Amino acid sequence: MRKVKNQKVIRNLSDKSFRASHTRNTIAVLAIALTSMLFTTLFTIGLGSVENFQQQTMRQSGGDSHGVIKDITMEEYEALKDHPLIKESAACEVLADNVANPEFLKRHVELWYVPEYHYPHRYLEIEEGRAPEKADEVLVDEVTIELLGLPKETGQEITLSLQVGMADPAAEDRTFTVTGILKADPAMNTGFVVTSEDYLTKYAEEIKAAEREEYAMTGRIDMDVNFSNSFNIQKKLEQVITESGYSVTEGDKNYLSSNVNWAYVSDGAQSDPMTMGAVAGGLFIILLTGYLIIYNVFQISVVKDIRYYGLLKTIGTTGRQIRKIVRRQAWKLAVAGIPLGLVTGFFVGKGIVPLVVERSAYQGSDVQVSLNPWIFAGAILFSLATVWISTRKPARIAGRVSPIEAVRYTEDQNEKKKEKKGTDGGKLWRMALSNLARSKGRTVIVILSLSLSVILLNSIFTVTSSFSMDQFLKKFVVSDFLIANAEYFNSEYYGVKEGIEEISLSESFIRACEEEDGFERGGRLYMSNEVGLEAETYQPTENVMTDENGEFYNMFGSEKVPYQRNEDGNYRTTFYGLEDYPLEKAEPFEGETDLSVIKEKLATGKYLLGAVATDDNDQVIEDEIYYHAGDHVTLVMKDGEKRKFEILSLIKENYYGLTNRMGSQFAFYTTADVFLSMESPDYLMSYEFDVEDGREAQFEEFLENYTTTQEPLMHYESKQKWLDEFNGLTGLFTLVGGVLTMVVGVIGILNFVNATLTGIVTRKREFAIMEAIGMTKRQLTRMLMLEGLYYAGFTILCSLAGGCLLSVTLVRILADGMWFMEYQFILWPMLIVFPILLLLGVLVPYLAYLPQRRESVVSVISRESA
Amino acid sequence: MIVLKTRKLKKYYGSGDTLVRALDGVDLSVERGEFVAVVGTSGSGKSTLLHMLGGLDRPTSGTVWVDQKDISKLKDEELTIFRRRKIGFVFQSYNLVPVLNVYENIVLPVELDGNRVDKSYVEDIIEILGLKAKKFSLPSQLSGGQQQRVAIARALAAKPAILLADEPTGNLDSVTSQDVLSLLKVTSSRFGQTVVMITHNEEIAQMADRIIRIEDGKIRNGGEAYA
Repeated sequence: MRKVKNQKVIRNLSDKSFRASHTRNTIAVLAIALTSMLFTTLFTIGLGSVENFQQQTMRQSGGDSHGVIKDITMEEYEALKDHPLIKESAACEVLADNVANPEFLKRHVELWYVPEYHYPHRYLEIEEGRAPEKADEVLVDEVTIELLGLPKETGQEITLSLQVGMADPAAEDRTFTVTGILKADPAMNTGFVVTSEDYLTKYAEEIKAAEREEYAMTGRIDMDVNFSNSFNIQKKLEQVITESGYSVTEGDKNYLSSNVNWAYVSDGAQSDPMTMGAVAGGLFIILLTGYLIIYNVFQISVVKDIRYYGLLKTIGTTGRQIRKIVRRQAWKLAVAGIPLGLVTGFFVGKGIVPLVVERSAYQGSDVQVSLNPWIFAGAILFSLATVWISTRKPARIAGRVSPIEAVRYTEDQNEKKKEKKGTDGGKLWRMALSNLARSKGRTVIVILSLSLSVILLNSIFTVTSSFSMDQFLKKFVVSDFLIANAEYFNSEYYGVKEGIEEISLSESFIRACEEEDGFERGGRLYMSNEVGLEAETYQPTENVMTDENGEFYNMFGSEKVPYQRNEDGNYRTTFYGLEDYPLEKAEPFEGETDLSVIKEKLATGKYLLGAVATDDNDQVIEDEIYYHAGDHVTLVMKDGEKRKFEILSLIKENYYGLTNRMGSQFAFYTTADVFLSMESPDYLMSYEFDVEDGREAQFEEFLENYTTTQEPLMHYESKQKWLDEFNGLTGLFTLVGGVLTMVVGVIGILNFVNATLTGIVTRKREFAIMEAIGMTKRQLTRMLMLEGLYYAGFTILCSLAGGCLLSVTLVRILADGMWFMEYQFILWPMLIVFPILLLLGVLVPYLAYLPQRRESVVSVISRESA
Repeated sequence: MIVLKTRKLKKYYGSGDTLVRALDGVDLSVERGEFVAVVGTSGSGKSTLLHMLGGLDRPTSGTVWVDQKDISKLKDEELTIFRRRKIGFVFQSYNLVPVLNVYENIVLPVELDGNRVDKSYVEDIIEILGLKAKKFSLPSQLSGGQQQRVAIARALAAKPAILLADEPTGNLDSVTSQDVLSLLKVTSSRFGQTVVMITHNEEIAQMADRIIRIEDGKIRNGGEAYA
């Protein structure tokens, strides 16, 4: 192609016509800004949440290293560390099996050596002071210092009671100087004390000695490894091990075990198809919304200026050049709009991320949203893509117009109508309708754009109103309140004899509750893990898998796990005794189902109930039925006494209400009385009770108070807590959906305003003529308002159809797929919006025409025909 | 009987040095059923005069009577309504409503007024103007001459007191111009319609009953009816 120096002219022309379209520019900039704001918000929420989840997982896993080679010696470390794949590595060493100070009973403390350069990777953040240098210097985290009853100051001495190795259970007191305070991580219930390298030298003997013991933690060295990127971490770890002369085969003499930091494996948010689908859907909706308005704005403006482009063609401007002129204007608008959207979008997203993270399992950690460049790169890319796609066709139209046709050009030329039957087209409402049909493309797009937000709104409300509080609560709550030892709520009620008093519920707490005003009814739950299921008499069902040695096993992922056995060789069970109140909450599905009969029969001491796990939708998992109603089982006590039972019925496992919150293969239930005839009342796990209506808040306060002042080791859970959880979930969905709907709605309205405004401006002359032949301004206004009403009317039809369709298909599938949702078909959100739409339909044309009303007919006619 | 009369009609634009006297004291009167042509060079004030007569614009001073009514005293809204009842316009550039077919365009002023269309009358006009075959065509399908005939039909539909035509043949070639004008003349005499037509074409003007010459905002001759 010939190179001609015409860039400057084109630029000049483009800029001149750019300045001439003031209204269009304002609307286009707003539209682009809103579109890119939506993109930015979406990316901020997406990446921000992933970032926070990953961070929290890393914090919980103890560091952000890619992987770890576990339990190696210093020699092995030296051999491994120089492998070319490794970007950074550190040998971290455990220096005591237990820090036995009594203050650390509830929150245990670990003594570590971590090289100073590696602190950041282990989230060791020195709040105050410096790293330790001498053998008697340490860093201590702030909570540990507090537990010791000391102020958060450096320079003071602390005494740690260290148990080194397993062979000698005696602990030795050692005094250290605190050189620095570490920030404690609220996500972890573990304290850290970090020593210097000198400590390793000084106590080399005892560490060596402990290292040789089989089960001792002391002396264990973990090698944290970072590679250049986080792809294929396991493969790289294994490559490092094998290429350094070790083996990755378990059982080999030189075997080294290694694993990937699960923060990099379980980045669930990225691979979860549901989330992926939601993000893709969000991107699509935003792109569509953006397209609908930007396309329309440019289409309208090109058609409006078509004579001008025709003129340019007449005087020798090529189609390419005209396309460039249009494109250049689009880019200029994008340059103005996108940054605006990026900034607002980021802050809106930043406001929402904490709410999203709060809904996750992790809590207590501070949420941060970093200025991730990917957010902006993604948002810019998608915004530009939207602008590009949207302006393609308008630019082509402008470029292709022939100079002759330009004068007569109207939209939708291919649909040439020769005749129009009918004689009453002069009626205002008919004329208004015909006017809409004049540029069908524009009309359809405006209607789509408006409908989109209405449909979106309805779908979001359908989803949130399908959130079933009953379904949600049913999973978590059987009673108004549940009280237990705090350990129970950490899933640490094991029900074994040793240390049972530290994890069981106290009778005094129950009494306090029963004495409180408004108490209605409650019941105790006992659970013991000391009762075994006799292995020889157990009759497996067809679901039980047997390996080559005849051993029963379960699959956990790809791992075969044999049934857990007690020391006497019998299978481990969780054995529950329930008082009437909790027993009535059982949901039998096989065998006897009448609860009063069940109660009666259980009391005889000859029957048991067995629990079977359920899925998220409260359906029994058939594959996990390991025995049936009617089967006979023999339970073996700790002292060897055996008791025979018949399984009366199978009940659904009620994880939050009727278990110790740990899954169990064999969970058997009987009455409290039968339980107490076999086991000690020490196995008191929890107590569930209801209070009189309206007393919930009072009880909440009482329990809060009691568990902080009277018995701090006890804790409680209320229905309200789960209700709050539920409301938070609903609120979050409404918020995110609401923001999206609102912005899409604003875009739809903008589109409508633009179409109306340009519709009025381009028809100025036509209106003047109408006035000349006797159409009053009032009639004109009425006609315009009718046009607006048609827009609103068609939008209503379109969104009714689209909204219902979407509701019974996609939304329904979504709702059916979520356990806490119960699909409900609703229309009221749309019905509420419809009057607003009608009002807008009337108001926008009225206001848009207002300034024109003052112009005199003659001035319009003489100006426009010139 | 006089249907149109002006008295000391003045229209000034601007002020001071830039003051333009578009009309400077025009007195004229038109009899019912007369076909009058107003001629003058461009800038003579003939278009301004037509706007004043049709109530499209307001005079600086002076009075316009149409059917004995002083229209310079009417409010905007009243003026528009007056216009669609008493005045029919034919413009140089046809100005048909693009979304309406020929018939709908013709009856539009009547419908806007909320009146029942006098169907036989309209059919008559359509017949005379030779538009019968095109009754349901859209304006974009018509030639310039046909469009102007539709505009004339539209102007006649409401049986106005006066038909004002502003260079009705300005966009047409000479043969078509003759055709259109003959038709205008035929219809106006058939229905006793008063017509005031502006033109700068002497040949066309010769077809009128009377010629009013206007120069620099003043009438040179022909201002008063013969009667």
